[in-house]
Amino acid sequence: MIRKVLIANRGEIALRVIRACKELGIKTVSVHSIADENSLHRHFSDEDVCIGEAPSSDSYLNIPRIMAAAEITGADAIHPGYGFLSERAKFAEACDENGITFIGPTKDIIDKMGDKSSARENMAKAGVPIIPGTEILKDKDEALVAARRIKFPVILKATAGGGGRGMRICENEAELLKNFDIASNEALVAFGNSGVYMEKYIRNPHHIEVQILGDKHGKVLHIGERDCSIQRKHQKLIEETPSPFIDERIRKKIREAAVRGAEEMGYFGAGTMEFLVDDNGEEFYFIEMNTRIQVEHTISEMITGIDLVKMQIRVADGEAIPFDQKDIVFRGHSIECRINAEDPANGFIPNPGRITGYHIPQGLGVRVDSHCYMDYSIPSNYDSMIGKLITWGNDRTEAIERMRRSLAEFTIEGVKTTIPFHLRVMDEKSFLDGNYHTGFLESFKF
Amino acid sequence: MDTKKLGALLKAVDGSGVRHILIETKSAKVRILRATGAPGKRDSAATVMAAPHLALTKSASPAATSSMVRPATTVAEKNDIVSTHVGFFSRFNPKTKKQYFKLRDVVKVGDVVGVVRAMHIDQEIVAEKSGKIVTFLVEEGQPVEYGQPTIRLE
Repeated sequence: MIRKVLIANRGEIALRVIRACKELGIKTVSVHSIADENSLHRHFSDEDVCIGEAPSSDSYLNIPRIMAAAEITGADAIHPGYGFLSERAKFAEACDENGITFIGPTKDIIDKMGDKSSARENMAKAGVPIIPGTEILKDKDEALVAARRIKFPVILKATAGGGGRGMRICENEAELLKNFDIASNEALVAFGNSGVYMEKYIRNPHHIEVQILGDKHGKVLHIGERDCSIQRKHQKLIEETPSPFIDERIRKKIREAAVRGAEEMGYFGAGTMEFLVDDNGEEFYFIEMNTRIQVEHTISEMITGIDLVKMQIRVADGEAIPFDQKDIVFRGHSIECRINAEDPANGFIPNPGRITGYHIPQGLGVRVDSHCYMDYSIPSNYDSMIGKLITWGNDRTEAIERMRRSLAEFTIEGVKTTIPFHLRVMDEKSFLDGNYHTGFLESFKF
Repeated sequence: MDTKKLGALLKAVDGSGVRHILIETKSAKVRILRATGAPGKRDSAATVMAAPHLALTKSASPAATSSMVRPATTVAEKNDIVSTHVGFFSRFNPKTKKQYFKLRDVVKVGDVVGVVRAMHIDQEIVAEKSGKIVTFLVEEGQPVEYGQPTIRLE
């Protein structure tokens, strides 16, 4: 039985895990870098250990130091939170080798789902739709055959590329024939490798993910989907559940596909299957799985009453999930706004500093997950998150209204925050209509 | 816990640079932390939530106490050699079993003064200062955290 959990993380998620442990009667150990000397998480835990200098490589990413902290405190389990080492198979392995329960899936599952090609292969086996694509294309003729199979529009991508470079969208055969040579040459010049492959191009995609919960006895459930389409450079800004975009037929299919995929992997713990849904809301495709708790797990908790972090710990301890899919009741609507110390009027530039005024919104259906407090200095070494503001309402309208009210009430002085941005979004027509995609920010004027 | 004595202690350190006090007895554990390091800044301390500043917890048992790290009960002074690792401190060379240095020995910059053992690996603590050892601040085998003062020099 797990008696003491070391939380290998910081900030709001460390507090989140500490709270879950306290409610389970489990002792807690936190770790912190010297930059986090005044961080709340170290004062809420039963014990805490300073593990290194500010850089993450010396502290929160330093496996030997974290394992040493577990050893000297007698921690018998480690919760990795999100980010940092949470999807590092080597960390899960280090825990295994030292007889410490890793609160997450196995090293093998992390490896398999972390490798894009292997993840796609495994999901295809489970009958989960993946983005139709090819291996490296030999020539234009092969590209044409592939495009006819996949159906236009398609996108040519450099196999050695990344960061959006070396990509060419083709709407028809004429464009494909023209772009194939251009794409190959560009790839050779930019990356030293002329190889290109093809994928179906999903126009105006909607990012919809499904929360999965599995146990070590073979049970896998879904805890609903989340719409996370409002993003900036692939960082989510606002999440909501249920998705206002997909209809009930697709909602059911996407949830079932996620469960199938997780069952295929023998998944246990909390995880999230991420999908892209096309602009017609008819087709959906698996993109990746995150084998950890997510930032936005909160909204799934709000509409189901299920404490996902507690369930992670209980599952890791070998307990069976004490309910079935049919027992989960989805009630109401929940929205999360990530409040960051960034200046939305200035390209969202990070704005760390000392908080000189702090008042969090309260009232029915309002939740704030934050590690900040009055006089706290946000360090510049880590992410710029101040906290998460979550609202719940009986329906979407109420959740939005409550979010509007809460954002207006949320007072943070001393640093610039993204609150003004969120307030504007709450009045934006496409958001209110529930019809926004991942390109939302490109047309949003702030 | 005698609250009058606690109050007297708080008064005594008010105005000093002390930011973190830990008092431990058989039945209780009290940790007091200032929100800011600036001496005499009562206003800023008062505005921070009470919970993180005063945590009164009861030890479940003596066994629980012995497994806990009580880091930084000693405030580092400028001539202290601090640990640059996390683990169990030892003054003894693991190969020769001899003590690296004893009280009143003179340490030079670059000397290995101890090891920190964790996960079956010994990592050396190397002196970054020179001086005569006046006291060992941690016991043999005591858990230490990064930055914890281990040896005091004069």
